[in-house]
Order: sequence, then C-alpha cells, then structure tokens
Amino acid sequence: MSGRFKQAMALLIVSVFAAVSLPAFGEEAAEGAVQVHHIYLHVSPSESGQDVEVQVSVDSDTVKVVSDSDAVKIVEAEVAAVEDEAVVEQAAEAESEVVAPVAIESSIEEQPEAAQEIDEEEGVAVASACAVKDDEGQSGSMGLLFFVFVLAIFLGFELIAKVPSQLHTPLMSGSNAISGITIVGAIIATGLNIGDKSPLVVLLGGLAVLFAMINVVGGYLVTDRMLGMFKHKEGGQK
Amino acid sequence: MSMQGLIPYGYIIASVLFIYGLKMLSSARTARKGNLISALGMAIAMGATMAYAGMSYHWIIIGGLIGSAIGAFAAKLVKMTAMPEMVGLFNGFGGLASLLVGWAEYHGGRASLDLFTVIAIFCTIVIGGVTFSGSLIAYAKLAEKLDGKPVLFKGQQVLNGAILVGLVLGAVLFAIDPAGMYPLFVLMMIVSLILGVLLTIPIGGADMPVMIALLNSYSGLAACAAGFVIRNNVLIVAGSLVGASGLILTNIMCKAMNRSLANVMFAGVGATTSEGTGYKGEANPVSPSDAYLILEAADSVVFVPGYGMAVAQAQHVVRELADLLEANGTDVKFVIHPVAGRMPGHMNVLLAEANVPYEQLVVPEDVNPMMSTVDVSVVIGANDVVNPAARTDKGSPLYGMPIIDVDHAKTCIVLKRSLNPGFAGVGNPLFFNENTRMLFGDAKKSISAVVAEFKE
Repeated sequence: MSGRFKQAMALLIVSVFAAVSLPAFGEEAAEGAVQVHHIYLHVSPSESGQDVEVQVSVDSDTVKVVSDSDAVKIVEAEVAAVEDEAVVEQAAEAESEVVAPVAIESSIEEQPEAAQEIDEEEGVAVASACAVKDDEGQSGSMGLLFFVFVLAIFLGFELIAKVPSQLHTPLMSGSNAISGITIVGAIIATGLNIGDKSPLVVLLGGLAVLFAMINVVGGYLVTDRMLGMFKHKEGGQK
Repeated sequence: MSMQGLIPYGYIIASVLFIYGLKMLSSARTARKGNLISALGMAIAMGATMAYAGMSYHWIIIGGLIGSAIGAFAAKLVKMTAMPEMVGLFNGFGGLASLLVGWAEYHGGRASLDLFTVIAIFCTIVIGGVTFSGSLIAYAKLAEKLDGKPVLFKGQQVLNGAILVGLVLGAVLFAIDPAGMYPLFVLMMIVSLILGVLLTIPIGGADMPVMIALLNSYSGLAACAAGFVIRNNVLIVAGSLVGASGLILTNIMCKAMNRSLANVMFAGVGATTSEGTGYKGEANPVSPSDAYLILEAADSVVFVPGYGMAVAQAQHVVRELADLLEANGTDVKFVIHPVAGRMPGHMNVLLAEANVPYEQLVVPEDVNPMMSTVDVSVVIGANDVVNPAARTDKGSPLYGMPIIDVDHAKTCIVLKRSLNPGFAGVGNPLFFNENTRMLFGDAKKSISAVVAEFKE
C-alpha cells in the first residue's frame, strides 16, 4: 500500500444510522426512506496520515455525505438504493473502472460495515458501506404497523374481558391516562430537529405536549387517588 | 447504535408495562399497582422519546410543566362527586393532543407525504376532533353547565349522515393533493369538532355512562391513529389497548341497559317527557321517624344508590346509617347497578370515598334471586334502574333492561325529592306499590334525620 505517492491514509468512518436500526420501531427509517445498498465515496488525495471522518446520514429520501475535514474533499459520492436496481449496476460499473471491485462484492451481503480501499495512482479512497437489511424489515414496516394494531386490539379485548363493576371507573380513568401516550408524538413534533421546523409546528407540538400531560398526569393521579379509597373491611388497603 | 439504538427497546418495555398495568387494573387486588406500572411505562416511553438525537427540550419542558401542574392540581382538588366530568375532560384533552399532533405533522411535512401517512393524519384529526368536542359537551352536561336533557332536532340523523359523507369525500380530495388542500384540512378539523358536538348532544344524562366509555375508546383510537402518522408502535399498542378497553366498557354499559349502541347513540330516550305520565296512583309517604322504625326492625337491608345520592352528596350519611344498622345486627348490602350514576362505576367510587368496604357492594344478579327474603330495600336517588316497568310493561322505553328488583323486598323505602319521573322521563310504577314507602325530601337531609332517630 505504501508508494511513491503521498500516502493517503484516509480513515473513513461510515455510519449509516437509520437503515440500520429496526425500521419498524424507529419512526425515521420507516417506509419511504431510502434503503441504502452501497455508498461509494471518492475522496481527493489528502495529506499524509490524515484521518478523515465522513458522516453518512440517511433521511426519508435523501442521503447526505459530509466530511468534517478541510484537508479532504469528497469528490464524488454514489449511493445506490435497494429499490433501484439500475442504479446499483451503474454504480458498480463506474466503480470497477476506478478501483478494484473487491469492496463492492464483499460488502453487499455483509451487515453494516465500512470497507476502505485506497487507489495509489489516483489518490482516491473508496469506501463502500452496506446497510442492506432483509426485505422483510423494509416492506414490512407499514404492514407491520397494521399487524401490531390488530394484535393489540385483540390483546385488549382478551385482557379485560371481565371487569368487576367496582373497577369500571378506575379502569376507565387509568386507560384514559394511557391514551395520553400521544405525548410521544407531541414530543417529537415539538422538539425533534427544531431548527428545520416552522414556528407553527413547534407551537402545535407544544400545545399537544401541554394537553397530553394534563391527560397523563391528571389521569394517573386521579386513578391512584380513587383506588386508594377502595378499602377492604379489615382496613387493609390493597 | 448507543442511545439511539436503545429507543426502540424502551418502547417495547413501555408497551409491555401498559399491557401488564391494564391487566392488573381489571382486578381489585392489583389495580393500584397496575396503575403505577402503567405510569412507569409512560415515563419510559417519554424518556425514550427524549433521547432522540436532535431533540431540543425547552418547549417540551415548558409545555410539559404547565400541563403536569394543571393535571396534578385538577386530580388533587376534584371532588369524588365531580369525577365523571373530570374523567370526561381529561379524555377530551387526550383527543385534542392527538389532533394537534396530526396537525403539526401535516403542517411540517405536507410537501412530502405519502398516501398512507395522509390517511393516518386524516383519521387522527377526525377521531381526535370528535373526542375533544364530544368530551367537552359531555363535561358540560355532567357539570350541569348545559342542560342534561337530550337535544334532538328534526333531520339530526340526516345531518350526521351528511357530515360523514362529507368527511369521506374530504378524505378522498385530501388524499389526492395533500399539500394543496390546506383550507380543506382546516375545514375537516372544524367539521369533526362539529360532529363530536352533534353526536353527544342527543345523549341524555342516564345514557352518559355509555357515551363516556365510548369517548374513552375514541381517545385511544385517536392516539393509535397518531401512531400510524409517526409510525410508532408504542402509540399503536397503547392506543388500541385503550380503544379495546373502552369498547368493552361501552358494551357492558349497553348490556346493562339492554340496548344496542346505535339505540343509545341515536334514540335520545327521554327527549319526549310525555311518556312519563303513564302511571298514577296513591303513593304512601313516610316520615323519617317511621322509616327509622321500619329499618330498626329489619334483619336485612339493601341500599340501592343512584345519581340522586351523588347530587345530594349523601354517601357519607348513608355509610353512617349502614354502620348503625350493622351495629344493630342488621345485614347490610349495597346493590349497585352498572349504569347507576353518570359514568361506569360511579356509585362504587362514591361509596369507596365514604369508606364503605367493597365486600358490602354487590351486583344485581347476586341479590335479585334473594330479594324476597330481604326485609327492607332503600332506594336512594335511583329511578330507572329500579323501575319494575322494565320487567312488565312492553310499552315502556325501559322494557327489557335488567333492573334491581327492589319491589320484591318486603318493604321498599324510596328517597326522592318528588314524584317527578327520573332523568329518562319514564314513569315509575314502583312509587305507587303497596309495599313502597316514599320518603320525600333531599336524600342527605332525610337520611340524616333517620340517623338522628337512631342515635337517640
């Protein structure tokens, strides 16, 4: 690897956030997001021994590749998405002209990892990262939500089929407090990436947080207060 | 991975805790712990959400603190008699929060929404809107800020139907061009708020337990729809659990009245008060001292409380009377009809507040077969749930409703302010029975007078 050329030891740290985490649970990487197949980075020659960090972030339909360092410029970044077979092939062709194709093949089936290859002639570093999950994980996200919905409805019916009438009110106000779970949506709407948001969204989100918290805090406290009053004859409180 | 990677697991744990909490809430022994467990689940879900990278906290903290303070104060200060309207109000706020989340997601992302999200947003604002305005009306009716009588007008059903059709049409237009349809979006929010009002005003006071349970279910479904918008499983799981539990309660309430949900929603029983004049006869009034003599001689007494006890705040003196009777060697039971009061379990809460041990609280099915062996049944502000017409008179709007057979007891004392028909406006032949004694007046004063006799 050493050579007449200045060693371009560029360490590329490729982190692909969204596509890696379970798509069904992260709301960011849900259906509609780009499922990254490979990312090729062509990096300009750098000063010797330079470590370069490259951040790759995957948003709903764009992939951003950013280098923190001034010393190294990203000359070109090619991203191939899973859905788009043509892009994958094209990228692979273009790739083979520039560098050895080792990185491509080895990375396709691997779990997320970064590989690096330095072309000594041209001073181009190529990294390819693969964040391909099996198809289930991606196409399932919408279907999976429905699946969870139906299961939870059935679970709910099974769970509380029999309720003694003493507990009707506490069950109602307790479950009412649970419906305050919309607080999660309110928090995301209010605070996540606040810089990109219009003030109206933050205002709506903030109000949602306020009302959801009335529901959550009030609901749980009032239920607890009520249940605290239900006493056994012996005076024992359960 | 790190913190970000752990968020989904936080949501899984929260979902499990909700499931456990709800399960424990449906059993008397574990209910209080179950409530705490589900609160813990909520805390974990919130904590996990706060851990997202790129979260700014200031507005969340401001909104959260104000909301928590209001919620905590309301929960601490509310009187147990005001519990139905409080639960209704909290419920409405949950629906409103979901609506606002749907609106925020629409406003923020309207340029790039896929069809699935568009439909989910639509469902969120419609269900959230109906929950919010419906709960507000229910609150106003229960708190007697609005007349509790059903409001019916000509063409009400047609109007509701037209609104539903309009909402579906709106949904289609909205789905075709989500970004360009902002005015339509706002219009749909307003229409769903109106729909919530229209669905709730025809519900009479006696049918309120059904409506409250139904609105409870809606608030869960609204959260669930919001879960589809932001594609978050914990909202979907928690929301559908609440939706299911609300529907179960609604069903229990409907069964207790032997009516279908559609009948409760649209029939508006009691709107026509003319039905209430069907029964005439000679009532037998009784004084508190006579009532004392009857009770003092009894070996077994059942109390049947109703909304009138809540209105008169008589639960504490009733408990006092029950204690005196027990000390006198009398067997005392409280028979509680599932739809007595204005929300599911309303009477249980009041009696629990007055320290009546719940072993003394029994359900109608357990007492009715033995009612003929009971010496005295005391009806305190209940009416429809003890109306024998439900058993015998096919023409009565209550016909078929399972009732408490207080008329089968050897003597029945009815505490009532007057002979006016009850909330449902249905006449009650019980008042004119031979073995019925009417103790007229405010329930609290009457019972206090009887208690005073006992103490002498």
